[in-house]
Amino acid sequence: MSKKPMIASVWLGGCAGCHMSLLDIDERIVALMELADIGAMPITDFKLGGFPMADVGLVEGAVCNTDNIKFLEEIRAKSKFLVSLGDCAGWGCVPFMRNFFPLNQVLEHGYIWSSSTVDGFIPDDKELPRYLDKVQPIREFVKVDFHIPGCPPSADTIFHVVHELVSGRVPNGIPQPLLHFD
Amino acid sequence: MPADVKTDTITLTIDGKACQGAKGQTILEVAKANGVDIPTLCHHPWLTNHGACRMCVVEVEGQRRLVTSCAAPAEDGQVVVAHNEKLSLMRQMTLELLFAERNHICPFCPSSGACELQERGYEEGITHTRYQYLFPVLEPDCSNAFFVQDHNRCILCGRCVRACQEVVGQGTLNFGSRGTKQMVIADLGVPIGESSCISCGTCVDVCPTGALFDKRAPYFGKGGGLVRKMVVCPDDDMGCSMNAVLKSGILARCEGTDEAKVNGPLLSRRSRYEILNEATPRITTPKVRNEFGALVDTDWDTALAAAAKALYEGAANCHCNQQAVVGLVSGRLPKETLASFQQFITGPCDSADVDTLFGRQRQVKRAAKDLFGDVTECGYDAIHDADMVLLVGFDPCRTHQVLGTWLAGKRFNEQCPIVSINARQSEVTQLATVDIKPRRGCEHEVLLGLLCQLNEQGKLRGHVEQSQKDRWKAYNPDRVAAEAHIEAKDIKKAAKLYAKAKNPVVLYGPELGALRNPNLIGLLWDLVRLSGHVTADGALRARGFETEANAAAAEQLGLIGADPSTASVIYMLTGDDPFEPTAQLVEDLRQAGTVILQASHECSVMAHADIVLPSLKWSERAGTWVNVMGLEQTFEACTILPAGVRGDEEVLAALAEGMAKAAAEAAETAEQA
Repeated sequence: MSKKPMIASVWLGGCAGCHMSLLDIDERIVALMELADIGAMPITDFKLGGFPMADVGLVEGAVCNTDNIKFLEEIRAKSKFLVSLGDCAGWGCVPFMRNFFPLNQVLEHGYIWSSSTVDGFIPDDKELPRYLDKVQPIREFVKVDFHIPGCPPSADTIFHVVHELVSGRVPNGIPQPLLHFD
Repeated sequence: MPADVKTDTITLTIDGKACQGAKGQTILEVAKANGVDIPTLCHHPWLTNHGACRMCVVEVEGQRRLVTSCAAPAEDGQVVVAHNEKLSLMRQMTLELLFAERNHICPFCPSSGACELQERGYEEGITHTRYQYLFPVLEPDCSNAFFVQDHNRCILCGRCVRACQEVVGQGTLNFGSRGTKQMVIADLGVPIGESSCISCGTCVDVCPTGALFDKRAPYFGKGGGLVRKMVVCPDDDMGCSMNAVLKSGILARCEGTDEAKVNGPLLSRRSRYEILNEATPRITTPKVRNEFGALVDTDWDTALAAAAKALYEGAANCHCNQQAVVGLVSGRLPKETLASFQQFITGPCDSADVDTLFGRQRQVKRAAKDLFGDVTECGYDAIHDADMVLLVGFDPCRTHQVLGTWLAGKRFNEQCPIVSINARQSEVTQLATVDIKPRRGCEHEVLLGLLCQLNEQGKLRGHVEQSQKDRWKAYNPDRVAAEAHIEAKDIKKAAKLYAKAKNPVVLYGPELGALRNPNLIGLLWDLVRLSGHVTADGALRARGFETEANAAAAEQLGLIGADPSTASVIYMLTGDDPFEPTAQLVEDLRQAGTVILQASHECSVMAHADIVLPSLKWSERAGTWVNVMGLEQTFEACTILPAGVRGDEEVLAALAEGMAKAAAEAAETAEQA
């Protein structure tokens, strides 16, 4: 038996909703597991070590900070086929809303001016990742092979695309009933 | 299609299909008529075509470039391709550019699910945009009380700009700046709430995205699960109708529809937005005034029995020629309810005193008809055709807002002069070329002054008796100006404008009726008749409007007068009429033995009521409405009654039954005695 294709995923500036939706494929995950192996994933808590060499890489979330870029570039390098999962990764969506304000204003609001904060300061430890000036969709940093829009994409959409990919086919777009931006 | 289609029939091939059309049609129109679907975005059936969005591009054989089918005239023998791979790629690119230009974030847009930009995206299979986002920082404009303009979602299709100009005639919205800085602005770039916007909401109806949305929309959404039902606007007698949009049976909003016979897609601020606000709490339980003078909640049986008893005793007294039962009903209720109420008052209550709340206005017109003979007044066509409008005692901007909007359009787009003669403060003043505000009670002199001027200029074509002319002669502008506290030049100017116009129209309204002077209406009719301003079908170019939506039905039913001043029982069925009683009526209510009020919401009349019965509001009523032109329209109820509220007809039937019971009891007691 030849080696099964490997799926890996990462979650950048997002809300985990897309991974929740991935879990919503319910028992179909068993069918998926028969076709493919799941490597690193936020759901597996990366307990299996770093990113494996993957056939299909899924990315949830927009790129907000330097860490996001590092992860994104790693999964891109190790994945044969990179899929942007959800609106944050593909369109910008909610994280994108901070682009309407200057970065320092956003940070001050979060760390200093919020009503529950006493003696707040903007954390500046060098261990911490740096925020980017503007939140960007992942395609601004790496080549993306396929986009699944949706906030979150429905489980059916995710299953359809991932199933096609691990079966060795590249889907030609997303069929209309499965395509939604919201 | 026009009658001359045969001579102008053209045939073109669209996507290999032979399509028939008429000369003068666009390629898009021919395609639509022949069942070929071409995607559009800035095109809207209510509006002219603009060719802004480039979604409808097609290839035409022999033309080097792609053409926008919504703007390109169809020509005989054209070979058109509307769908192929290249066009699809073009459309995708267009859509992606639109998505990249501003901040389109579908998940929290109230229009998501009913957004045409989104829909086109789905049709073309867009999963992302290949272009860099521009991230413009655009602040939503929330200054209007009813809707929000969010530039982040605007695709500059110009539908709102065209609707504001073409449907409303207001021209508040327009484009400001050019290129990527282009914006839809109000007036000269002020917030909408501070602009000349009249909050009719037509722009919200036509917006393909969420750039313009109702402030209520985020709570209801625009997508699935919405039901639309056509309803009448109960606020005036124009007979306007609209679509009530319901979600799970709850009224989400009102929308314009081009199926509306009178107003088309145009709605007024009142019918679209203010009608949804309920200023006072709903009455859902009957109330009876107790021995301490307080209104207390009670059950239906007790309240109905008390009301039936009071009505029976009132009616019984009526036979002794003492005092009577007087019925007052809101003229905004459907004809069927008006008829039931009339039958109840004339039947079981044995009284002829039944009328609508604003019945007095109609009385004046009836008196005028008796005095000056029946005349036919003109229809809406004559108003639309008019090249000059004379308003007498009429403030359509306040009471008949759709008409007011039409007049604003006429004023600004056709330079149609408007003269207003109104003793009261009126909103139409801002439109008026000449605004005559005479001292109260002096409207008569002003009209005579107008006739005098027209006579002197020899503009009165009909036969006028010398005595009449002599009478008018006395009303020279200076005298009228002195008496009515106005300026002589205004009278002269008004007369000049009226004399100069080819098709002037005279519109008079409720405030004229309120003066209780039928001679005023007679004078107006004389003015129009003698000036020879009659339509082709013999109607005078004049039209009177009433406050009540169903005034014409009340007139048809013969609700012709009630005198509550000596009533022992006053039964008022007001429904949701936002009616404020006059000082006289308040006095009558105080004097009356018993006041029964049937109303949907708490109101000032409640202070005088002894028995309060819940009633329906406009959206819960079904029936027939007759507008000022006599057009009958029937509508269904769109929402269901709240718990505890009973239908008006049911209540009237129960009261009639209760009265019969009271009569039987009285007979029994009399027998025993």
